[in-house]
Amino acid sequence: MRATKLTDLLRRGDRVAVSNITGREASKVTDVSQRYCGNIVGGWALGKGGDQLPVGADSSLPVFADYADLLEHLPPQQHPNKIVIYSPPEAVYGEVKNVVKFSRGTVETIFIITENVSIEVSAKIYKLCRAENIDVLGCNTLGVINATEHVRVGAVGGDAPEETFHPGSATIISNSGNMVNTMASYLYGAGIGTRFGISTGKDQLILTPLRELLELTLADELTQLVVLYVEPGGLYEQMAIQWMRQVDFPKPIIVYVGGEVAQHCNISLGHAGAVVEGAGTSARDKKALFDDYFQSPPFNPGMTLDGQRPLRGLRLEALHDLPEAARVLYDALGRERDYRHYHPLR
Amino acid sequence: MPQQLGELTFLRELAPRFAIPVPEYLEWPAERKSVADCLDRWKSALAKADILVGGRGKAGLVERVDSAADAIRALKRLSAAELGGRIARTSYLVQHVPARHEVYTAITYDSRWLSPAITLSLKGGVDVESIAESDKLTFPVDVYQGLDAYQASELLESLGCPRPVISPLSRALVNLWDMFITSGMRMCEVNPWRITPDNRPLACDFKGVLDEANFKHRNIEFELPEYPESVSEFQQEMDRWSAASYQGQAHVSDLGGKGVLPILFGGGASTIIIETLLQSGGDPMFLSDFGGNPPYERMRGTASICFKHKLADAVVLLILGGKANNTRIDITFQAIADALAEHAHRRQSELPVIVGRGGPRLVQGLLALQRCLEELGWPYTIFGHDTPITMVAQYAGRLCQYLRSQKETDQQGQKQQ
Repeated sequence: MRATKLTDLLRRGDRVAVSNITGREASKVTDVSQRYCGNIVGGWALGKGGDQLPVGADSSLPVFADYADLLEHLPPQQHPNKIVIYSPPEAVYGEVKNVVKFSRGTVETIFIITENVSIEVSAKIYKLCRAENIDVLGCNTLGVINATEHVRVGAVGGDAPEETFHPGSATIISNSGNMVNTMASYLYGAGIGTRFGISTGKDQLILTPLRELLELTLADELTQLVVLYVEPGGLYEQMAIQWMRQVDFPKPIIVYVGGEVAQHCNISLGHAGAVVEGAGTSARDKKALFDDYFQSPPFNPGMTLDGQRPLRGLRLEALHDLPEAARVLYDALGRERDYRHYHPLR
Repeated sequence: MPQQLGELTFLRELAPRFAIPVPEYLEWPAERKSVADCLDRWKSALAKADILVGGRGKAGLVERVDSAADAIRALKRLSAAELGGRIARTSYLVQHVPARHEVYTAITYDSRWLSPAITLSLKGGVDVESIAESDKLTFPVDVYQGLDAYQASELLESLGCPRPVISPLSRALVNLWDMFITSGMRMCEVNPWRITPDNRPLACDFKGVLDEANFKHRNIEFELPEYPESVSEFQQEMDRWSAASYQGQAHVSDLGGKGVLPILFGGGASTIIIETLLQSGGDPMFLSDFGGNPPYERMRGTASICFKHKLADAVVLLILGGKANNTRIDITFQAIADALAEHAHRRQSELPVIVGRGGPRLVQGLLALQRCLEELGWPYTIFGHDTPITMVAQYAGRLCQYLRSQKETDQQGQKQQ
């Protein structure tokens, strides 16, 4: 992985370019992102080269014919180091190949928002980008938000990211984009803000696996708590826990494992990866993995943590216990919460 | 839903195209003489149900037969077999192959390497889960370069495969890889390859899954057979609707519940809500995920299908999702309200409605829904995004449980009178 710090994924000063920027979804998200943090330098869309995309009240972004056209016309200091892919599934591989071909080392991370990218293309993108030292989030990620520096890529936080994401000490890593938002709002109720919100995507292949993201949180001084939303499918958690044991991972984790019910149905709930492949990949197996790592029963609101050391983390049985679990955890570790308020969920 | 492939499709279409060695077979229905000729030639055969479900052997859907009369009786029985909600499309007869060894192989995509991978074992013929880890080997395959015969032979050699088998089996594995990658599959499994006394490998059972997102599967040059399923009309209609567009999600899985009618948004949120409903007595009718920022027409169509099939019997209508990132609440809720108004006549009594949502243009969305519910005169409770989805789901589940128990009490009272 190219990134060695969380901020390598996204920081203020990054220059973001968006593929298919005039699309229904991309144009709306671009407008919100530009109002929120102004980090987009432009984009491209087939047949739209030369257009301007209106953003904000009285501003616009240039639209180019393709990525090479964008590089040709933008001054070098505006050449993007982050790419957001909003193109239709059949165009995603071509877009990534073009970025790799023309970027000449400037692009650090590609965020692929597109759903329904084939698993073969995902595997090819991973191999291609790793060889070029480019990190990929997705496919089917909702994006990333760095709340401390007030910047985002993708649609994390919806129309009003500042409503949910207040700077703080928790980094949220979620297989579900919606859960990044939901868990950030729950945590804020407990007086805990967000450091980073990361939607990994939940296709069968998650191209930045949990272990690599945890490595970044380990190196991040501002992250005091890691909050995970996990679904069935893949050995990502097993590999992450194996690594955490090896390095004696010092940061507490709160995890919610969802999707046990979906396993019994012929449905992946839009998350193509939520397919059980074998031992260690079911929701039940993942719960057991975390329980074993934490050496603790699942959290319940009456639970006290005094005297439990080392305190590796807590697994939630009910998502609405997140703020209480976070409060109890911070108290047990003797850590100050980020904000003085405490609003129990109701 | 990923498209599954069974052994019969493999025998008929894929194996000949990719030169994968297989035993002879005969598809039912067939004339008595054809069956008798096969048995004369093969001496022994396996009659199998053509059904897309695992565990056929354990469920008695594979039968060894040694005479034409036994074969015909078995083929007739198996052509009407049903297992796990699936119904057999037909049945078929496969030559029984005497074997010295049985080999397991599967090609799939592996989360450890984020690439295709091949799994091999010389202890094939049983479920892969029951093969000891020390007896199987999984190895990544370069997605660009594919599996070559030298790589395959090295793997087989490292497992201790008998030397005369290595060359023919390696070539068969390369052909299997070609089929996997050319057809756009997510996984394929041959279990077992039966190795004949003269060291010929024959693929003696197969299952595969096509990746519907992979354009290659449209070029497989044969019609995928349609398998009858004992799924509800609701599920079938929604599956067709879901497949008709990539705009917004329209995923459902019928749970057969008789309580809460859940219109849910977001993959993660939907899962959590259904789990909470099940725990709190909500008896959800189906599992759903209608997120992905659907346009009005898409959401209206999705809601209409749900209401057409389920509104009449629902105890509580729950419209719930987390705080949306991109789904427009005004558009989706207006579409739901219009669909509800269209189908409200299906009910003989008012239906309590519980709503919880957050996201873009929430207030406009809630107002649209409120106007509809006021006009219908149905009771409703609306929660904002600061109330957790799990608490709203608990509330709906408990309300459903209470209303059902009240109904039962009323019915008992009426009987006693």
